[in-house]
Amino acid sequence: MGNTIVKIDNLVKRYKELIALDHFSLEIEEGEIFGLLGPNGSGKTTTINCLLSLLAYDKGNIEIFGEKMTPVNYKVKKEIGIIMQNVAVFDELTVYENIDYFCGLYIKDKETRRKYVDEAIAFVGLEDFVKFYPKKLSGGLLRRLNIACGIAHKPKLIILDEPTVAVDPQSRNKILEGIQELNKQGATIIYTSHYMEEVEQICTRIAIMDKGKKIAEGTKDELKRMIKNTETLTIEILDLSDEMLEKIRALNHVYETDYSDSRLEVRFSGGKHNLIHVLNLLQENNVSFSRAYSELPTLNDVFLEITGKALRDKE
Amino acid sequence: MQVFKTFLKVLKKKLPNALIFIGVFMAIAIAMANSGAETAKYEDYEMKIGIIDRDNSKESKALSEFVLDGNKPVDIADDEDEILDAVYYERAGYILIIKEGFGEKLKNGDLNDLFENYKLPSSVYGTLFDNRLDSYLNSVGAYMSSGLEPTEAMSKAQEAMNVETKVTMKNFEDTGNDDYSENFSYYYKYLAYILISVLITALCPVLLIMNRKEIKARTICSSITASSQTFQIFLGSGGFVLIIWIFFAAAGYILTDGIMNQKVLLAMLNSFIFIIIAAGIAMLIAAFEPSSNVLNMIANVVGLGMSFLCGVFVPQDLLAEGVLTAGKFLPAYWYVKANNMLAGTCGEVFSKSEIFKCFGVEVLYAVALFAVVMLVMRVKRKEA
Ligand SMILES: Nc1ncnc2c1ncn2[C@@H]1O[C@H](COP(=O)(O)OP(=O)(O)OP(=O)(O)O)[C@@H](O)[C@H]1O
Ligand SMILES: [Mg+2]
Repeated sequence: MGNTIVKIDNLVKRYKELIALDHFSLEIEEGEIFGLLGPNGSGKTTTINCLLSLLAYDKGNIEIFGEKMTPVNYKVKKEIGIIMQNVAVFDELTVYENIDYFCGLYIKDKETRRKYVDEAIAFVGLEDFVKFYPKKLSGGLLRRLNIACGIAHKPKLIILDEPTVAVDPQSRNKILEGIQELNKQGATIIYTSHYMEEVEQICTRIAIMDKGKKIAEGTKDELKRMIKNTETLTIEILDLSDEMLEKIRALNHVYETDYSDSRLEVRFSGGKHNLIHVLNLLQENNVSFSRAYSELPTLNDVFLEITGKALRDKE
Repeated sequence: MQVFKTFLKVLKKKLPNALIFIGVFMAIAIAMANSGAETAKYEDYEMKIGIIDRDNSKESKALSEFVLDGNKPVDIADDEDEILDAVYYERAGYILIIKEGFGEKLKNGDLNDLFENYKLPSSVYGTLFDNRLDSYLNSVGAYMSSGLEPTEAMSKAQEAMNVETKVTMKNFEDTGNDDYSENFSYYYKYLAYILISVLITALCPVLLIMNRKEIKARTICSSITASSQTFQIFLGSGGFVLIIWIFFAAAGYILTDGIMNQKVLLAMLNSFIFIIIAAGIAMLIAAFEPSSNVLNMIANVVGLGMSFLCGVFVPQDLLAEGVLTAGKFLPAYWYVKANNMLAGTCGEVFSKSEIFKCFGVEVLYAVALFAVVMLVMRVKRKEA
């Protein structure tokens, strides 16, 4: 640890009028699973494409493995595995042939390659589908194929751009476990997503992006400590008077309440036994309620507090 | 050679698109080779012709002489029923009525409405004879306008027609089976359409797949150099084009009983230059990244359109002036023209220097096409 693998310095990327990356900086250490979290259009893919020298940028500097990254730095490219957001496979080739093609771009030796391709197939669990054409695979299996194509050559740095979009929960778990496994085997991972649950689940460090800017960075606990929210209560109440709402707001540590659609949300900054205090208050005043639960802050709360909007629209 | 190998794998999947063109073409070529195409040639044929001379002038006599030259005279009375009978029962293949005042009209330079004719509408030789009479009359008019008396003009025209006939006949003999057969000329003419169609339907989709944005980007991320990637795709395309050409050249050679001479070699060279042009067209189309539906449409429009305008389906000398002018701006025109020269058809005669001029124009088209392809690809890359 302590070895910087990726260093992005003050990156600026413009698409005509639109500033897709606005003085964006980042450092990623060896052995990390680094999460790049941001809503749609925040600039995640643009960051990755600049990182890979697929896109020219207007300002800034990028170093990978301590070397300046350029379109012709093949030595660096050799050590990178890339899983693109848009699935990049040949519809005309079988699962096996596809993995063999992409692996073969890096590994010339036939024997080694055969071994690596077989390992990649086993790794993503596509053993039963080697002769299938991509068109015949389900969305989840297709994503797994896309991943196998990116990791077969055993790269040191693996970049995954939203690899779980449109994937069923079973495949998603398999993919997330796989990423952690690759990390255990020694690869450094960059993982972009707009699903905070995924990022929280696997990432050792996280940068949150919005509109091309990095708005926060740290481990998930560090990020959560940055905000005043420590707990959010949600209680379902059919009928709540304004007077009652006022009483709740007056409780200790409460800094925000929100009542709509028969749902009361109370946000706390610090304090203990907050749920019990609120429920006691409701009982004393003969207010009936159904479900009640308490949540610790999520990355969504972090995003919400910093930008004033939700990470993604409520589903 | 990972890119090259994959190019071939994808090509194998896309080749069936082109097999329909290759299959139908080869079937027709084989059928034609076995039938030994016969075409009607007026010069070979002696026709039974009846002449009714209502003018009885020096000029009408001269015309009769021309008409009967090489044909067999048949006596017919000037009676409508008898005329129709003679034609219907094929006692005469062609009946010409020289109208009264023929000589007078001719002297005044009026070439309209000089005679009537009767023939079976289905008679090929009758039609050919009509054409011959037309061009004879045109020559007469031409000589007269240069100051000759009608009778003089007529004998000159007759002389000229006979010379021309001999030239044409000589050409036909030239193109007889041991030099450049008619089959061979048809084979190479239609090949223009086939080559374009095959390359657009088979090579284009492969190029589109290899250059698909996601695949291309993903491949660029790897440790193979961009130039190696381009080179391997080029190698695959070039290899495919070469194999297709060798296949058609060999098939043409075999189907025409293995005749090999200068003209055959020139025809092969012609088709080689043209397949490079066709490859350029395919690459240009691919550079614009059309969808597969659009691609099919383009294949038809370009393949059929160019073939019609340039005289692949219709002989060049039968095309309207405007069509020909448009055709000259398309490479296939020069391919077909060179082929016509080799065959001595469509009023073209064999001349090496003229043929190399056609080749030169074709090469220019090929160079221009590849230049445009590079330009389009560069612009597209900038946009990305
Ligand atoms: N080729 C392009 N031309 C113009 N604008 C672009 C182009 N590519 C991306 N953008 C814009 O740049 C911004 C960042 O896009 P980017 O794809 O990096 O977002 P993202 O975070 O990856 O989003 P998503 O979660 O949807 O993948 C967006 O506003 C997008 O519209
Ligand atoms: Mg993206």
